[in-house]
Parts: sequence; C-alpha cells; structure tokens
Amino acid sequence: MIHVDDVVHRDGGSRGTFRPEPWGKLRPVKNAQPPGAARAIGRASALLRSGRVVVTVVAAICAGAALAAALPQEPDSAEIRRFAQGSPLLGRISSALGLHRVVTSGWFLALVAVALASLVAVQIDQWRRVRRRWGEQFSPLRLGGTQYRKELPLAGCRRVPASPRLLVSGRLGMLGSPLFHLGLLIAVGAGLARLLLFSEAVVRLYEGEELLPSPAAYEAHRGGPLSRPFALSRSLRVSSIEVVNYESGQLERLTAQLLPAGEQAPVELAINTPLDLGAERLYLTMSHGVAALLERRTAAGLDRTVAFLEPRGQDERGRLGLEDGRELHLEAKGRRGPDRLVVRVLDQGVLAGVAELAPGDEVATRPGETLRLVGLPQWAEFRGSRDATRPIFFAGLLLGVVGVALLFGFVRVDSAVYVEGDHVVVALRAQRFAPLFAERFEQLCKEWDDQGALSSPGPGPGPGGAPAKVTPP
Amino acid sequence: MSRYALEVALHWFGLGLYIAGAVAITASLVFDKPRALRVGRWLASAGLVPHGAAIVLRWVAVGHGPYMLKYEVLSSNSWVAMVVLLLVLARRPAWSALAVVAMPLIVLAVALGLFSNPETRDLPPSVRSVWLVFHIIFAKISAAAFLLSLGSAVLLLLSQRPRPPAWIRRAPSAAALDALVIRSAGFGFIFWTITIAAGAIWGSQLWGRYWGWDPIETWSLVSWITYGSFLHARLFFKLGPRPTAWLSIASFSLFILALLIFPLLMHSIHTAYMS
Repeated sequence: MIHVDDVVHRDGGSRGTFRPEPWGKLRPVKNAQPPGAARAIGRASALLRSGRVVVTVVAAICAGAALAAALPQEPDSAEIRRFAQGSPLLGRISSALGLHRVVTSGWFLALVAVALASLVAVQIDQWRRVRRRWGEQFSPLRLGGTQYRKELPLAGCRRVPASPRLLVSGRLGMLGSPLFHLGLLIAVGAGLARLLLFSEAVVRLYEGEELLPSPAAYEAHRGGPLSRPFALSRSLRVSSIEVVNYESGQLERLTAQLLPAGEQAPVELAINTPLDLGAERLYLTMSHGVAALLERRTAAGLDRTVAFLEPRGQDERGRLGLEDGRELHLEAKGRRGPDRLVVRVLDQGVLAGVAELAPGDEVATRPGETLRLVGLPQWAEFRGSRDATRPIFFAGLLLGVVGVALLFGFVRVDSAVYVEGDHVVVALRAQRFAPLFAERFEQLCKEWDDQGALSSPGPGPGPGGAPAKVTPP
Repeated sequence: MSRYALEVALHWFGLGLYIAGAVAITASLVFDKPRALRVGRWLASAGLVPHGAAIVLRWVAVGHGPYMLKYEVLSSNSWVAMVVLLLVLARRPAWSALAVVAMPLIVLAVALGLFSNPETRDLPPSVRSVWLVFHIIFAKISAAAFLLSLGSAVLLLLSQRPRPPAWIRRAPSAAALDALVIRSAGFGFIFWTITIAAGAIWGSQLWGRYWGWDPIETWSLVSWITYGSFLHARLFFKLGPRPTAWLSIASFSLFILALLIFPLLMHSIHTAYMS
C-alpha cells in the first residue's frame, strides 16, 4: 500500500503530494502545493489586502493630498511666487522637495498605483466571497452563535413551527462593499488615464471672429504626455456675445451665439452649459469684456491688433504695449454697449497724448503714425476640452455611490424560528451594527407571541413556569 | 421693521427655543424626568419654525438658496442638522442623550452665523447649476449625519470613563453607541460621497474637468479618505470602540475644517461662499 505522504515527485526536483488512482497509477493532486509563481501572487495579494498595507497607503495618500491642498501647486506659478516671498525658508524647502507638484510626482503616483493594486486584490477576494455567500443555503445551524437568541421550553408552547421559519433580509447589503471598491477602482483608474490623455486649450474670441479647426487657433494649451493638442473638428463663428450684469455691476449672465461651419442656425453657449461637439467640448468661462479692434499705420505698413479690455468698476480697461516701449492705456466708457474709447499714449511713463475715438475715427499718435479704432465688439474666453475618461469616471462615481449606499443602507439580517431539542428558538443575526437590531428582535418575538406560537417573548420565566433562556447581544 | 431686522429677530427667537429645548433635554437626563424630555423635543421642534422662516425670508430677498457667505451657510447647516437630529429622536426616543452633545454645537453654529457679515451677495452665473444644488444639499445632510456620529462618540467615551456621570446610564448602551458611531458616520459618508460626486459633475460642466486639485476640493477629499479609513478600520479591521470614537471625533474636526474654516483661509474657487 502506498501512503500519500511517502511519495516524492522527482521530476523537476519539486516536492509534491500524490494519491493513488483506482487503477494503480499516480497523479499529482492539484493545488496541494501551488507552484512558485502562484505562491508569490498569493502572498502579494494577501499583503496588498492586509490592514497594515491598506492603512499605510491610504494614510500616505491622505498626507500627500493634504500637502497638495496646503501648499500652492503648479501650474499656479504666481501663487507659488507669493508663497516663496511670504515664507522664504518654507518656499526653499518645498521647492527643493518638489512639494509644489505633489499630485504629479513619482512617489504620489506610485502610492496611487499601490492603492489600485490593493483595490484589485480586495475586489477579487470580495466578489469571490459574495458569489459564495449569495446563494448559500440558510440553515438554523448557522445561527448557533448569533447575537440574539431566545429559547422557550417546547412543552409550554401552544403551537410550534412545523418546519423552521427562516428569513434573510438586506441581502443587497452584501454587494455594497464590492460595488463601492469597484467604483473607486474605476474612478481612480479614469483619473490616472486622464492625466495621460486629457487636452485643453484656451482662446479669447470677439463677436464676428472665427475659431478655426486647428491647434494654432488657441492662445494656450495643456495636456497629458499621450494627448494631441486640442482642436475642434470644424470651424465656428462667434455671432454675438451677450453680457447681463446685476445692478451691483456683478456678472449675472454671459452667453455666446456660435455658428458652426455649414449650418444656418446658431447654437447658444453659456456658463455651465457647454457645447458638446462629439469628442470635444467647448466651455464659456467668466472672463469677458470689450475688445478694441485697432489699426496702426506706420511707415512700415498697416498693423491690425486687438486689445482685450476687462471690466473695472463701471468701465472696461486695458493696456497695449508697442514695440518702441510706448504704452497705450485704453478705457471704454460705460458697461452697456460702449461706443467710445479713450486712448492715452504713455512714453517712458509720461503722458504723451489723449484722444477719444468712436469706431471709424483715426488719430495721429506721433508724426507719421496713426491709430484707427475699427470697432468695440464684446469678447469672451472659451475653453476647449477633450477628455475620453469623463464617462468612465462618472460611471465609477455612480457605482461607488450605489455601493456605499448599499453598504450602510442595507444590512443582511438572518432570522429563524425553529425547534431545537425540547426548545423553540427565536434567533436573529445581523451582519453589522448588531446592537441596533434589538428592537427588531423584540418585534420578531412579539409577532410570534401574537400568533400564539410563543407565549413569552420577553426575558423571564417561560410558559409553564420553566425559565426562558435569553442570549443578550 | 426692516426685512433684515425681522430675519435677525426670527433667528434669535429660534435660537432661544433651541437653547430652552437643549436645557430641558439635559435636565430630563440629569434629573431623570421623562416628561421634560418630551417638552425639550417640542421646544426644539418649535424653534425650527422661526429659524426656517428666517432662512426663507432671506432666500426670497436675495433670490438664491442659503449657500453664499458664512451667515447663510451656518444658519442653513444648523437648521438641517436640527431637523435630522429631531427626526432621529422622534424615531428612537431612547437616544435623546445625543441631543446633549449635538444641540449645543447647533446653537453655537447659529450664533456664529448671526455674528458674521450679513450682507447679501449676487449669485455669479458659475454657481447656477442643478448639480451645485445637489452638492450643497448633500453637504448639509452629511454634516448632520457626522454630527450624530460625533455625539455618539462623545457619549461612548463618557460612558467608558472610570467614573462616568450618573446621567449617562440613561443613554443607550456602550455597544449601541458604538454601532451608532459607525452607522451615522456611514450615512454621512454616503452623503459626503454624493456631495463630492455632484461637485465633480458641476466642475466638469463648468470647466471641462471633474477634478482640479483646488485646495478646498482636496481638503474635502482628505476628509472623505479619513472617514473612509476610519470606517474601514472599524468594519473590516476590527478596531476597538474607544479608538473608533476618537477617530470619529478627529474625522469630524477635519470635516469642519474642510467645510467651514479652510474656505476662509485659502484662495480657492470655494472661497466665495464663505468669505
């Protein structure tokens, strides 16, 4: 007779366990000793799921995020400069440690990657457990060590349940944690993908101007390392821009009518109502004002330029630097449809001349040089965005919200009334928050009592003078 | 009487009723007078009427909900917290001891709001979005739920002292308080998750990005992670009741910093609603 433990598998030098086949051949028993790679994966998975690793990684991410929130972050270079001027020592330390770009730093991304790996490991484990527990047969035997249990002598009961009365409620709660973690995994994954793939661009456009379908049409671009510069798939013309202010002068409403190429009817774009153009979206920001369209004629030729004026109190103001060091200070009078532009020419900081122009007017700014005001249309800032991860991120958020709602809103509660030996047992087990289910247990006992099955639901002596056994939570 | 004077008078009237309610509930627990408990709950419920009227009056006058400036935010947050507390106490009268911790904090919030700048501010178009409404409503409800968790945690720690005060015997058992710390924090966590999700959708609608690492946005995330970690530590890693209670207090402190204090100290897109 061959003893299982006596057999050593010699092939490849690994040690295994064997069981004799009925016809006398030997075959290895699967999973008796997992191969090296599987063992390593198992160990890594257990490590990633361990409380110590999860808590450490989450705490480190939390600390990183707190640093990012407390210190000014790139690309806000003005704020970083202000911080360095306010606290020179802290500024030097944080710059040296790279604390002004926390969320794009290698260590932070590595932490997020470990958190993602941990989430994957947790997910596999959780879904396996749900699959195992969801369909399992509910037996009173499982309520042996339950939090709520009341035993009444069988002899004292007028009626006994013919078969065990079993009830499982709040089963959906079992899906809560896996769904929440799955949602979190998807949302964080989408966020990381966004870092690589997003592209944004900003441009100021005035009424009548056309936005061409080219990246060169924009003033500034931002994007991930794997993204291509932002551009619309077709051109758009800005038909009109409407600005409505409160009596206080604060902006109340800003809308733009845009005419896509090849279409007859304009579409409206407003703050909080982006224009969806397939993969690309166009947004209207709060920045707006009056654009001074100017023509400067010199011996060198005609130079067309646009000065973007911004609201200052009741007026619109802006500056335009000239190549010879002179500066034009521009002021459009009146916030509602200004039709006059005051131009001050400053040479080396000294006022060299003042003129008030209506559209079409021309003024000599120095011998051989004239400045003509072409028009004073409204301008607004538009932001383009391409982000394929957006729907995935929101799907992740939705799953996360549903998961966390199931996790805390539904608690699996198993209850049973059955005969055990010479007793009738009422038992209830809550998967979580057991002390909060005392009332439900009392209610369960009361229901049976009302039906005459148990004549003494409360603690104390049972029917027939025999004591009822009660296990407190 | 001007509209503002009426608003302030209604606020003070409501505040007076809250204080009377808190005193009655505390007295009922300390002196074991069950009738005073009922009186206290009725007084606090009555306080909701003038307080709510003051909020509605302001809403009608300024043309937007109570979410701009400290005055509106604190007043409306405390009204929602009081409603949630009284609903819980109506369903579970045995948990009235929660009011001993929660009500003074609610009263303090109303008073702080009353002493802050009451000027009205026009609503910029950027904050006119249905997602912002969800963002704000759920932030207020989560604050109320976290307050209940805090109240339970404080009561739990009091009951665990070597010589606990006598009235704590009339509070729920330590095991029930422990469960309540977690379940309230869990409900708060649901609503705080929805708050952040609604904010992300609003941000996407406004700027084309759902997350921008704005300082207040990031502090909200930090407080969300903190609550998430503390719930995980308790539910999955079997942390004991006392550390759980302390973590609930720490998480609530961080939450209040993120919601009410940091917007005053940092330059952020959220600054407008508190400054």
